[in-house]
Amino acid sequence: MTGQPLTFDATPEEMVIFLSEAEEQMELLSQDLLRLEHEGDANSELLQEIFRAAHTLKGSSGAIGHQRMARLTHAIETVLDQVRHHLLPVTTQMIDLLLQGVDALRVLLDEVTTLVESDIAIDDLCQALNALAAPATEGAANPVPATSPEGFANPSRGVQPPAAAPGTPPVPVPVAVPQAPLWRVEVQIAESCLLPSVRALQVLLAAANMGEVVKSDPTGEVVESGKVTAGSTLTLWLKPGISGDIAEQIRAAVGNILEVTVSAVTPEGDIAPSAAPADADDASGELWRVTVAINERCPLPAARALQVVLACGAAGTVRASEPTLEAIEAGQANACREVTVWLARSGSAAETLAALRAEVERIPEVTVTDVTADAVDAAPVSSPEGFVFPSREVQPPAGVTVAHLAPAGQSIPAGVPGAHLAPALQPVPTTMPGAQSAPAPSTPTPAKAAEHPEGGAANGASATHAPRMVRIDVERLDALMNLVGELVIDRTRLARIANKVSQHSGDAAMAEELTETCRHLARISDDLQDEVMRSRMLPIESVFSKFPRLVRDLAQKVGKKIDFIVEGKDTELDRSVAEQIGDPIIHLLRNSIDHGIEPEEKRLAAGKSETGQVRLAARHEENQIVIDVEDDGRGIDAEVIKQKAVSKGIISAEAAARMGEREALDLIFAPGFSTAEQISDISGRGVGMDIVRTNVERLNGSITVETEVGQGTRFTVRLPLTLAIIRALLIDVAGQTFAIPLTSVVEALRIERDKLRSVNGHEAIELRGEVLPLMRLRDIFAEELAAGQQENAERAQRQFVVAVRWGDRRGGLIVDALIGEQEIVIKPLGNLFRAAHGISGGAVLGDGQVAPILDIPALIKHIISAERGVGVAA
Amino acid sequence: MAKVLLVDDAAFMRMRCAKVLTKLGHTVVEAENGLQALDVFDKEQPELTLLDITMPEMDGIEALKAIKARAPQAKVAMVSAMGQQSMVLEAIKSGAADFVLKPFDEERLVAAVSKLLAA
Repeated sequence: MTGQPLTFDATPEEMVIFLSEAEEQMELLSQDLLRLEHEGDANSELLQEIFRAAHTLKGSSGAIGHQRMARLTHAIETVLDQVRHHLLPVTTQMIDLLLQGVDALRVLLDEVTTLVESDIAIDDLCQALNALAAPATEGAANPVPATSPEGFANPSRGVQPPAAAPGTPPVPVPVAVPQAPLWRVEVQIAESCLLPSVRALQVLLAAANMGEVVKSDPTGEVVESGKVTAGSTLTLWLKPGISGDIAEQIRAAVGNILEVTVSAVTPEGDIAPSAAPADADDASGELWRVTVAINERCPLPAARALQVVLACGAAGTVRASEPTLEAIEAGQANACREVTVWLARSGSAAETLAALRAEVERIPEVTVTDVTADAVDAAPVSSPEGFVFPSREVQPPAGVTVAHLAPAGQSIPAGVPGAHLAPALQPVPTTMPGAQSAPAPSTPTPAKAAEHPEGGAANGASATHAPRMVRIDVERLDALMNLVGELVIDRTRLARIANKVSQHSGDAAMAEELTETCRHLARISDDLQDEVMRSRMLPIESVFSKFPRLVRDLAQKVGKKIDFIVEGKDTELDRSVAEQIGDPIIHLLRNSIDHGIEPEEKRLAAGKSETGQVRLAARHEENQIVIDVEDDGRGIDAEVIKQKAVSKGIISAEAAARMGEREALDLIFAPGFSTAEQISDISGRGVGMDIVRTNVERLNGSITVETEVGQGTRFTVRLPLTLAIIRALLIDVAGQTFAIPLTSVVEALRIERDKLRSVNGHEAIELRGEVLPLMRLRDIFAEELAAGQQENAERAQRQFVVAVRWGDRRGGLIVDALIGEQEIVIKPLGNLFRAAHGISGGAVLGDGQVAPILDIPALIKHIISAERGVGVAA
Repeated sequence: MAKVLLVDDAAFMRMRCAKVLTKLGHTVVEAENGLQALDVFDKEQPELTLLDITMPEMDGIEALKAIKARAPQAKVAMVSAMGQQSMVLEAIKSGAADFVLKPFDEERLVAAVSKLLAA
């Protein structure tokens, strides 16, 4: 019911981690789903990643007790698991459903915070997802849990089979293993077969449809691991669950499979086919029937059953088991509550009991209920062949009871003291055909682990997630920033006071202490300032990440195929800008998809690809962030714009006639202008571009449009970046520090003075076979720099050159010294260099000093024009 | 009391498990994927390792095999979600001593850990 208050099982501290991880997984899911739709299921890393995201989400939501969320993530995970195993093809419908699932998950996640049940219904969605997954579950190579065909599905089945009750005479064959004639089926796999293992698997699956495959050679495991060779023979022993002409039905079903030929189908009675165990002693030893009950509360009985059979294998030789290992592994024993093992083992009853106790009783949730001596030929045909018995590394815990030990059918009362019955256990050799020794030795390289710093295992994990954890209102950051500003001013004043004190006070020690404290305070407040500034920056990805989905939905709505390209996601921008830039970009994207990209048939007619391209790109350009929204659509015809504007009464016909193209294009930003034939619910009502411009200008930005009819349109939004942090190379010219954005730096060189050449009267050097024109920053900034310091450096034998680029143009700047790389915070310019040409902004350095940032495009233009002798604008 | 290595890529699950284990008086060391687990395993020599199955870098099955290869006596239990039966089966064949299914209640985890450590 909607509106119900909810409670979740997590402490507030856990909840923070849960929420941040859940959001991370959801973001990953929705991004990866779009990638999946785009790239298909060929990228196995993507498939794993997306599956893991759903899987983790399921686990965590289940852990806090969010049932609906766990249910939905389970449905999503199931589909993704099948996609991962290439059992389901990726379809648009599937992606639609999965995306709907993620949307619903977001609502459900909100419930965790609101603690009120939302009105979202997930039943239909889960059903649709399950329906999507269902068809592939049948006959899948990796079988999903199915109900056991032999009645084990009923968990209420008694722990003790009636046949094994104390005191009853031995019953050679347990009820659970009905006698059925055994058929041996021999199949030849064609020499020409390309995927012999697949054919073999098909044979096994076909046989499994007709009954129980009790054994096969090669084993199911070998087949599934793809080791079957072409031209080989597959032999299987089938206990049919069908009636009628069995041989004929087997021939028909198996013969249907391509590239295989049925060479023999013969009844074999109950002879164990070539199951002779390697250990002759055990084979000739007594046969014991061991019955083990699995606790009804055990959530995964098949795993316990497997453990039981394996453990018995360590105490003797398993001749058969019910369920068989194959059945367990094939998922046919998922509700099994009892395991019967026929164990060949020489030795006394006491030894057998002790050996079994040692091996079986260490398994949680199981109880040995009966051990009976059996006639050797009474064992059902089955074989443990091909299975790995783990080394017996774990000591048996106490507390599991062996209920009965009944050699030759005579029950021994429960509570036989195990101690005097237990001689030293000898490991039983279990070298069987196809078996590998337990844990295959491998030498994993911990190289990658080294990436995690010392102690990172315990603490690094939370560090990984920490940056995503806290949300802070920008206003709070602004307030923090102002306080830091106050602090910096006071710090400066305090430093001045400390200075005075040290000059006038007679107590030198105290003055020194004060100065030291001030220095420390300065360092701390610098770091604080840096951190606060940094906390305001975030990659534009946070804005862009929701667009691929938006574009996908829009494209679907208008029935166009769109290839959406996003570039420059890492570009950092100030939070306040990031928060406001989203809507204008959405408007532009909508405009491109709705108006820019033509309908498919028009594109084809124009000789274009039917898929339209929309490109969204962000980059830093000096102290601006530049965002392009570009499409390869129909472009904007200035004449059409003019006509529309006239018809809408925005301009007069006369004005239109006088208007140039650029002015005409500008009309699209006019209030109330829209070129759409009809009002669409996507691009709104013609207020889009108007609002975009208003919003951008409110952020002190600008928007421009470039277009070519038939080719496409590009909108370019430029926004100021008053608080951008960029990496820069710091250099020194005449004692003044300058910053060069690292993105513009090609390399920094130290050259001997005599390497300088003169090309057309201008300095240049040869750099890797190319002439790099040079420019002395001292000359450029001669006015601003203290002239007196110039001479000595000028005469220096060595010169430092920073090679910079702007597009494909390159130039070299001669500087006095290289200081190093640093992250700088871009600031509005101070007075000193305000008017200077070649300066794009200022940077606040760690020591509070302001360094001008070089305007590399302007400087390169300057070098180029100087080279051509077109006049220098210093 | 024992030292337990907790391996899970979800910090939330680690946090939750760690709380239960420390309450029992155990020392908990953590890793967030299989590769890291091997590193921590070598360094810390835990008495028990709880291994998640689905993890990036190196999954739980691989990590289990690697751990058993270097220390055949190591006690390792798998932590798995429903629907990973085939993985659990593989883990048991590879020497896992036990498994715990997610979502688990505290009681269940305590029982499994205690039993394994007592063995």
